[in-house]
Amino acid sequence: MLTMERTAPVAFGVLALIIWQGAVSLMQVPAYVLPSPIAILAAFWSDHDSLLLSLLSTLAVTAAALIAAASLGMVLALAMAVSRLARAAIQPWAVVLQVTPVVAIAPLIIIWVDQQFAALVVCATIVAFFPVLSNTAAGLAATPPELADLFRLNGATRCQTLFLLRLPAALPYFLAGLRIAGTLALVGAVVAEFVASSGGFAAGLAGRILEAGYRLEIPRMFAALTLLAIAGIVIYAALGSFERVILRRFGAGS
Amino acid sequence: MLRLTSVGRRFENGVVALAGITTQIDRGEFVVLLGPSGCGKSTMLRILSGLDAPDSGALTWDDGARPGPGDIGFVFQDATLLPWASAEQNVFLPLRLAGKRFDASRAVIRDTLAQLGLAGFEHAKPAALSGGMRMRVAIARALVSCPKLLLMDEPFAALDEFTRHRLQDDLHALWREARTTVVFVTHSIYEAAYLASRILVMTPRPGRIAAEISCALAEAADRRTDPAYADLVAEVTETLHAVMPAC
Ligand SMILES: Nc1ncnc2c1ncn2[C@@H]1O[C@H](COP(=O)(O)OP(=O)(O)O)[C@@H](O)[C@H]1O
Ligand SMILES: [Mg+2]
Repeated sequence: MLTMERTAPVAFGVLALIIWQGAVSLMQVPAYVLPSPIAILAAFWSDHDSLLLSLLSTLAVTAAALIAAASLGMVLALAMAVSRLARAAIQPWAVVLQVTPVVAIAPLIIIWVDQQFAALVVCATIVAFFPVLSNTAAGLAATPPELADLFRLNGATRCQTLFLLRLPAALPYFLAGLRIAGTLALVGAVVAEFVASSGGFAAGLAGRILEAGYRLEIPRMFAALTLLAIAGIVIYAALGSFERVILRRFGAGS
Repeated sequence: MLRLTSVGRRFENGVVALAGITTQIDRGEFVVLLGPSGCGKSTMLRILSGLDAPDSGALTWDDGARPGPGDIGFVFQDATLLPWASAEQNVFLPLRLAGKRFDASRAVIRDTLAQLGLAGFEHAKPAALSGGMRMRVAIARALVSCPKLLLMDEPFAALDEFTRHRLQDDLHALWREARTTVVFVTHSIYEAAYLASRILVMTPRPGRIAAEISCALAEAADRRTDPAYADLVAEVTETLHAVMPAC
């Protein structure tokens, strides 16, 4: 039963691909409307150097943004947990950044930040940092009150309470935020690349997608899209496993 | 050791949790606070620990008895261990907060764990321990700093009967040996009669001490089957029925 549940998504995907392939060939849909899976695979194969290089560029932006988002979210959450003044000062601006569509601010950031790679990372970080911040802040605020009492009874300093209790208790929350931030960083990176592409910078997968669109190379466009989807799934799964491994070693699992 | 004079506590929402509590707690006593849920027993423990303060009346400590950091051991209904720390690291916590080093404390930690029957479980994480063993770690953690006063808030209420009996036996043996002053909260008549050297019966809303029962149960190991224990249970039950308002 369990193995069937495991294989079900794969079986469903394969079935969908077969129906897709069959329908496209049967109804003779032109490739510039909807290419068949085999045509997409062929397009990928004939251009894999350029596509994989672009994927690497996008992934580099994503990874840098994820690290930046994790550090920024963590530091801001800490500041908010330690000082009420900091909380009052930071919270509204974090929400403002969160609700402003990154497409709208990306052109500005690309003008302000000279270095293209850095500009993309800044955009993606803005998209990705919020779940880390809000999750970690929630975790730091959710310290079990009885343990906090115990620390007080034993004369713990604020520093001791923070490092021996509040931070470790917030780790599961931080990791859950990180998992969401991973996929958001990818989304942010691609959105920023789309904006940057119109300015001539087109190293990432968004550049390949736009380029393929201009030249009506729809199978190649689908190949780039597929790579993006796979990258998203892999990032999500990898961060999920990372979370489980850390929590198990940490002893808080179950 | 300490005296309470007309201690009252009224919360911001208007609930009067305690009113006119006057009693005293002597060194070496095992005082049990017995009463139904919501009668202010936990509030009373928090006031004794200094985590909460009365808003009327006074708490007077004898000379030199006023507790500082580490002088109060507190055990809650849940073990509330640090889930990421091993049994010995959990027990080390009060010493660590007092600035002690682990190496210098290792012997004390081992001994305290062994006293609670946890020899060999030093490195086990809480998730790997049973409910009863987790509670044993929590008691070891409360005792490791040799507190002047041990406060326990329904510590065995969530355990099954067999585990509870074992823990009651062990706790009582520890108390007979060390004569640490204990204030123990429960809503079980049997538990109160078995453990206490004095029972304070509390009535709810506002929480008051309605009766006081001194217990001179033989300090033998088989007290549970002693007829004197059955008599004491009957006495406590009668007292409760006499003072408790109908609900
Ligand atoms: N922090 C608080 N604020 C408001 N009401 C409280 C608070 N703590 C306890 N109470 C109320 O005070 C009463 C006594 O509570 P408590 O001391 O926990 O009782 P017990 O431990 O005997 O069950 C209850 O009615 C409870 O709802
Ligand atoms: Mg209570």
